[in-house]
Amino acid sequence: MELLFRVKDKRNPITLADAFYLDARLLQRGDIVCLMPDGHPWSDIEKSNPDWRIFSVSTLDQAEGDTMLTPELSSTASQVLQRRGFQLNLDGPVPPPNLIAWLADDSRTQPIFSISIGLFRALKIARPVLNDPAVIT
Amino acid sequence: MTTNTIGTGKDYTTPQAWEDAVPASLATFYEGLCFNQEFTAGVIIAGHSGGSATNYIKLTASSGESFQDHANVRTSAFVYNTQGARIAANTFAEAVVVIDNDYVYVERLQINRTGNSYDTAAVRFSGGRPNSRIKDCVIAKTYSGTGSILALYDSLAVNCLVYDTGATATNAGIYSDDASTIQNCTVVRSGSVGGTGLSNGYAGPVAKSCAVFGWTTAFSGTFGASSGYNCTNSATAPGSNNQVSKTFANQFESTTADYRLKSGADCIGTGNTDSGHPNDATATVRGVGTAGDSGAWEYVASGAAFMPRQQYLKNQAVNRASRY
Repeated sequence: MELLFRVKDKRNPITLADAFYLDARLLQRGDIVCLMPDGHPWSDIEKSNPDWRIFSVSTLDQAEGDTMLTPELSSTASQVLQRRGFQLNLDGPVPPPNLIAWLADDSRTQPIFSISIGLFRALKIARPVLNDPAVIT
Repeated sequence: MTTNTIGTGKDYTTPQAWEDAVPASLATFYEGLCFNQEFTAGVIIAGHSGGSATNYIKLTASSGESFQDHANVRTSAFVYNTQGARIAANTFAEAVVVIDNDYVYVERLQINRTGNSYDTAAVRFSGGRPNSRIKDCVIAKTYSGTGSILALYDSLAVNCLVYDTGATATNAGIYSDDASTIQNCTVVRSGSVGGTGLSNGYAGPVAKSCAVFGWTTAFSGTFGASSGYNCTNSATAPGSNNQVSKTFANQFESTTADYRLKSGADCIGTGNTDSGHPNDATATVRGVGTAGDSGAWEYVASGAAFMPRQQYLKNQAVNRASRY
């Protein structure tokens, strides 16, 4: 499978009173946007958008990939449910240096980066919970 | 205005990729034009600020790419089919199409919820969206689950075919709340009778000029005063000028696979066309006012004159040219 994902957070103007809640409903850094089969003909727009990157994970099957598209469920501890329940942890200790360099390259000279299923699984984490700033815990 | 195409080989591969490329804060209107293919993942439109009558999001089919545009739209069965842009998905824990913003318009698409993992709707409006709407769409639930097919929250549904083919009936063909309007929709259940056609959680939604058949209960709850002109097999319907206790089999070409009105149907000429929506789901011009039909389909007698699709598109082009 090939995964189109965000490398940049998507935010509303912080001056908006409800920006926190709106942002929780947007895709953020590490969130998968969509999955397509190996060899998918991505468009030039998709291959050059500096907000996005594309991973190729050749042995990833559809069912496992689809888990990255599921929303955060109300059974989690989050007070504000997020658009995705899982994300790729691009900022933790897992990504090797060449992957870190690729993620940082907004020119996207290499549009697609191949990773192993093992690295994909190591990058996958449940989204950290969001506490509602309007609720005193 | 920012317009992009959606499909394999187009600007964006999927409706969700297009939506993610729309900025968080809307500064103009953003139009996503789907091409005639089946998308197998759903789309969530959510989290955007700045929506207005001029800064909005519209997901629709490109010209010539909708079921509405197909040369055989009037002679083919009126159900989810391969004749236009469509989304068929079994999205875990989410509806196939989620509209969680105001000023979002979804039009001219076919949407099919094909599975029931963590039962949810085919289309769900969330959070009260009084300026969002779904129009001219085929919305199907083809699995055996209980989630409503279309969930409206203060929103408008017009000219939509909403149908259920699952062995287990859905709780509601259309679930709505107080400020919603359901207009000229065909809401049907094939197979065994079950479930509720139109159900509401809060008193007040308006149901008008709808065709509602095949449910244990056609209308559940209290509907708004301007409801009426509905046609149903049930003994009651909200508002006035309704056709009740009509026979399902007398209305459509098929009660299981084709929801075009047929000759002699009780739904013919019993609606009340809204001047803001003068065409049916196939872009056929409706009878004016009470000459229109109940439901998403406007019946045209064989040999009778109706505005062909090509003429309709020509008129649209002329209108656009005069606008810009």
